Amino acid sequence: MKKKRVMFILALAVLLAFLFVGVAADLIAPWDPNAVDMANSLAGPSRAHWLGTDHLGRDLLSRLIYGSRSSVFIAFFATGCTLLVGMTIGLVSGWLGGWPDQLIQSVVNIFQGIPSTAFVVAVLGLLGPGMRSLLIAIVVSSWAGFSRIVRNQVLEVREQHYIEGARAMGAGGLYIVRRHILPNILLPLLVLIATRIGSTVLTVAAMSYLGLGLRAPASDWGIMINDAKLYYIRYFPVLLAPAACLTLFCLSINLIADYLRDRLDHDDGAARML
Amino acid sequence: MALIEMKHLTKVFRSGRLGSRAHTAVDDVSLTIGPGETYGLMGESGCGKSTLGRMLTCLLPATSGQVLYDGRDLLRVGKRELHPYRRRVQMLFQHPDTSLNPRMTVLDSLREPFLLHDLPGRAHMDDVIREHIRAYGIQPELLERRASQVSGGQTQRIVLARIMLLQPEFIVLDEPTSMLDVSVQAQIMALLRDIQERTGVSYLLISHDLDLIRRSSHRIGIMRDGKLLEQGETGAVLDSPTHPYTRSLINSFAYMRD
Ligand SMILES: Nc1ncnc2c1ncn2[C@@H]1O[C@H](COP(=O)(O)OP(=O)(O)O)[C@@H](O)[C@H]1O
Ligand SMILES: [Mg+2]
Repeated sequence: MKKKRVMFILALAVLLAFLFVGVAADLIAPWDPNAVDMANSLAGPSRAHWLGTDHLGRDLLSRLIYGSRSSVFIAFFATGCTLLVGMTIGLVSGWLGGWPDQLIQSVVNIFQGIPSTAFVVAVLGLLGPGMRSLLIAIVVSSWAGFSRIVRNQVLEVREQHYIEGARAMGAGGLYIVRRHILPNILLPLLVLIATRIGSTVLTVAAMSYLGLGLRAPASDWGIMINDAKLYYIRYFPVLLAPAACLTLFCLSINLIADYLRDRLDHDDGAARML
Repeated sequence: MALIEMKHLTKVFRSGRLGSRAHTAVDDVSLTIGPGETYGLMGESGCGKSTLGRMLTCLLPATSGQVLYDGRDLLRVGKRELHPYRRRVQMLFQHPDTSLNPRMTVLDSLREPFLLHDLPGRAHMDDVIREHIRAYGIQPELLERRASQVSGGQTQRIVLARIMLLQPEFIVLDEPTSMLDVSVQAQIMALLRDIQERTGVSYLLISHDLDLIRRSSHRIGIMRDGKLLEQGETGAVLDSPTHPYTRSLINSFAYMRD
């Protein structure tokens, strides 16, 4: 347990570092990530370019830093949107119960039945590439899972006597959701949110790599990997650097989720349905 | 004079596709409870006692029948109009372990009546609560604890204290001690009797324990499969039961005491 705690703190530090780097990219990045310098392409590390340059002579470190901004920002924002949509639908479904619940759950079943990567690709194909399409694709393909879990949690919590007690005292639906239901389902949701941020970063990178997400010249880890595929033999860090960032980010977010899940299991077994 | 009167109260639960299967949990129950009275409702597990209690407290809509309170049918008043009745009719539940929100402190739970109703002393509710809980045997240290760190007997005391902040006239006690140790059971029953003497509140005491019902109720009703088989003064029903089911119940409890 002690070891896990250390890992958790390290992972949290890494996550916060990525966030900080993303937010403060303008201040930290030594170069403009799009400044082309063909005379100096695929150069090794130097005083001026600590990690060297890519095939267009752009500073690798600066591109990584701006890539952190786009990847992490999109992942957090998309997960936030998904959470909002999924949680609202799940709350409504679980709270109303009966036929509205059955109806909503049939829709959820349909959405959950479609493999999510195929779904994202299909939506992007329909809407065309770009940041906004990517956001929509992620929300549309993953709200169902969120809402299912929220709904199951609500169904479990709403049977508890303290909910009946609050209703007997005259509490309305909004009061009960805010004071009694949300606080009791939030912790298990945290695990899901963390896992989902990790997988969203990967989705964003994968779509950008496929040319369906963000487009060049934007700096994004997925685009960087895509750019690197022709040049990594001549200068390996063009591939290694973005791949390492991606791996490190996903690893730390998964360690955080893992730790939270353990804590929950110790707490009251609320994570068993995740 | 009756405080609360149920007339032909019925609850049918529907399940399956489009409600194809129907189960009558409460079947045409009529009974009245007077001010300051304890009515003991006795019946085996699953016979519909909790369902009846939930309908009385408007936690569950009835399929048909009436609940007359103050001359009004509680099952047919609007949400807004019902709110003042929420103070007057309350319910204590069977399972202490889910009766308080585990993420809230005991003090937070006790503050809820003030947030939902315009109670006297609202401006300084914490002081009112600290003073109030003394009569319920709740140690002040408990106020800072989370509900998950409070024992079953203490939880029932806390929930009772919270109910009494609302100054109700009628409380449904749904097997209030069935999850507690025998010694704690006796304490809670004594507390309930004490509250009734002080405030004149009426109880519907639900239990499957004939002994407990016999000792605490002025009148009793025997329920089976959703139906009220017979009712009357406690002594009268137990001394000369008219229904064979009641007779067999009495026999089995007499046997248990020997
Ligand atoms: N919400 C519900 N939906 C469907 N059936 C229910 C529901 N609540 C109770 N029942 C059924 O109604 C019957 C009576 O239940 P209940 O009132 O809890 O009994 P008791 O409190 O006497 O043990 C049981 O058969 C139970 O399965
Ligand atoms: Mg019951």
